[in-house]
Amino acid sequence: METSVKQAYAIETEALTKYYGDFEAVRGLTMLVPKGSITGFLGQNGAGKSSTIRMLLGMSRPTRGSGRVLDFDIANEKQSIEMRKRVAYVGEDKRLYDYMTVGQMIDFTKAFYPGWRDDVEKKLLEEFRLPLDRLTKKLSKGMRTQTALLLAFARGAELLILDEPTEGLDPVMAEKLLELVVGAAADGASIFFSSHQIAEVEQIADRILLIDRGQLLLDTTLDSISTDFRRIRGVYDTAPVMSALALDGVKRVAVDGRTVSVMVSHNSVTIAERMRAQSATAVEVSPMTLKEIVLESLKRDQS
Amino acid sequence: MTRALCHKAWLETRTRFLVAAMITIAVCAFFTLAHTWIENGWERDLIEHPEYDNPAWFLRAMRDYPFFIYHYVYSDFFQKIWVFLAVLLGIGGLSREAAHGTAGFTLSLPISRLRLFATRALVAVAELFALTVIALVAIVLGSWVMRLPYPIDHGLLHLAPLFAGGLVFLAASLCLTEFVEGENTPVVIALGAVGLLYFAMQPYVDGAPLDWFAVPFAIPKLMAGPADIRRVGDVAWGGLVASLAGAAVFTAIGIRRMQRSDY
Amino acid sequence: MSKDTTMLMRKAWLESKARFTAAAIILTLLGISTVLRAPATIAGWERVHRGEQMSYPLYIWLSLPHGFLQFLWIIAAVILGLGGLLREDAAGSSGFSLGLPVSRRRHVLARAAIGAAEAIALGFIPLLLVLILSPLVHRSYPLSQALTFATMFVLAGLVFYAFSFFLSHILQGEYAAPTVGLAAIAAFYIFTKLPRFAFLNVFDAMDGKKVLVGYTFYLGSDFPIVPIVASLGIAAVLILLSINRVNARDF
Repeated sequence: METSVKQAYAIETEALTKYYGDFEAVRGLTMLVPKGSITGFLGQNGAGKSSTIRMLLGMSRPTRGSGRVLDFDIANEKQSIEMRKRVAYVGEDKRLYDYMTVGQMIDFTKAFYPGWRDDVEKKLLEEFRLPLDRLTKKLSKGMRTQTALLLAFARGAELLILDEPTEGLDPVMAEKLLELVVGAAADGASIFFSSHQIAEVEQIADRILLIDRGQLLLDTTLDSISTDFRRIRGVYDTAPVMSALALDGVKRVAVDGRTVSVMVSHNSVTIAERMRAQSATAVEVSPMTLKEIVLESLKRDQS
Repeated sequence: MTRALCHKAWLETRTRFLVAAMITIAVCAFFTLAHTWIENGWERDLIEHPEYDNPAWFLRAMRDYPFFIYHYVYSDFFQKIWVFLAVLLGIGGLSREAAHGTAGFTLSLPISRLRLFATRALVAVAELFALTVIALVAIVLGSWVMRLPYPIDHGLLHLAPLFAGGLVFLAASLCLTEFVEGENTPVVIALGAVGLLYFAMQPYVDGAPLDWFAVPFAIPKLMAGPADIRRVGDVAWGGLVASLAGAAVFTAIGIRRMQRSDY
Repeated sequence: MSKDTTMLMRKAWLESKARFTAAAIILTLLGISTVLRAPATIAGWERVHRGEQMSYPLYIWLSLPHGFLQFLWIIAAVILGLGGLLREDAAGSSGFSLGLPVSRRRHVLARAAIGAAEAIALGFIPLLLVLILSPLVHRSYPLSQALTFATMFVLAGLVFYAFSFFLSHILQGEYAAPTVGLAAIAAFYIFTKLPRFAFLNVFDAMDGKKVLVGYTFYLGSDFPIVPIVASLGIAAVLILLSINRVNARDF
């Protein structure tokens, strides 16, 4: 049972921590990314997303904690190399080798992946209309992104780790990329992508991980967001007893004068009843969008 | 604005400058501090190895300390290092920024490309001048520590042409980096060209009469100047003016190229 | 050789070919001008040193292995040693390289191999040109001498390439490595002139100063094995230290 549970995850981390000098970029991150899922990895700039990804790929070493990608230990060099045969990574910068042409980049990358998908390569070359004999340093940012994405998708990888994949793409290309991601997932790949575009994440992801200041704030599914996450607002005649609202499912409580707003991840019925029991009037329960959840979760003045 | 641009140019080149300063101090100080020790070694060699074919400058360098400094610093070893340092200080510019992806930011600022080039050149010239002062201080101080008589005007009169000649190489380097892309290729070409120049000019430095076609390239000889330089009039002012003109030509070509380039 | 190793080496070649080509052109010009200037330079020297003669091998030795070839080749070797994962990190492409299923050691070794091969090739160019072009000035230069000088030269000199290679793995600034490298080599040159440290004089091993036969300025059967082996050993250690450095680093 334990073995099959282990292999069900594309990415697992346990208290993963990373210090750069005195600065704690990633703080005790524990997360599970199931195989076959499309997981959006959200967070503000400087939240620790790229630091986490670099640790997962063996580019930097965790200060503490552990991690496994496709069941390979990220801290073990040999296992990390084996893991990378099965993983495609597209970095935030999408910088390629300035001194190679697009064609040379493809030939170069192909050599490392026996499972290279020539059909995907051909299809994307046509779709993106990439010039094979142009140096990558002469490509526009969008074309460089397209080249980087081609090099990732054509690898036939089990796991795609994409850092801001649609950055620099026009809306048409961005939509094409999202289709590619969904197509790769349908073929059995797991997708782990970071993004600032909440609409895109909502469109294709089935899971969300939200990280802030190196810590995991939210780990949920899109389904759960629509079925379970609620905002409950109540107006109080007298000051509410906050400790009475310390119930399972309460994620954030915001007080504005006599209005109390509670963000809940589940158990909304019980929490609403408690508020009514505390003499709150006009208790209103409403669904929340992903954007509202993310913005609410990232507020730092109250919890 | 100009101050900000100069500060930017300084930040881009300060590591190179600081290393260049340390090299200048080390080499100049070495030849002053180690002079007695080198001289003792030579005297031993004269006695123990009479068969050695000693070069023409050798005997004079043994007994004439300013000439010793002239040979090793202004004419030979340090001069070559000096030229390298001048070339390295000049590498950079908008081509390099384009390679690094920051040219867009720089060019979107409300300043002309000419100003960008000029401030970079100005900072590089100031750094080269600072190195000249550092060399003089190192030689004078080192000589003083070793109680070796070294007239400051000897240093000034030799370092002036060294500085002027350095300007030519600096300007050539500033110009070259507007034509050659890449991080390291301009360095290879610049240093290689300097090496070939010294190779071609070696016979003239050794004393052969200057052929007419070699005159424009006689910068190493010009930078060394005459060994016995005592007065301002002994300096080859014509050659210095020609050097500065050469530096101006390279600068003009570099500016023109930069203004016409697409980034 | 596996396909991925071939590709790593091809990458290293593509990265360095502009530098290599520029250096090859410069050294070709050096070789050609050395030969073509020979009659005038020798005649000029003999005029100054009345009663003495300068042989062609001596002229070649003074101009190339003991002269400007040493100077220019060392510069080229230092420049060829630059680059690597630290520079890729600064340029933003290290993520791509490190995302490949290849150990960091292999990245380093592929680049080291290509750079060393380029440095070796550059060392042979001028001496082979002397061999080919000497008849133009009515002289000859033996093939065995050209090959032996070139071999000795590059094998002893590879330590400078390795030194620059190592510096490029510890100094991140774009021009820090070549500046420090060339400065350190210049300092080392002076240092080895001191009698106490003459045994460290790699430059003499490169030009065969101590194994030239009498006044022929040709090489005899002696080969400076010890200094060359020492130089190669140090070069190997520097490459290993580079690997260690890259393995220990976070990107």
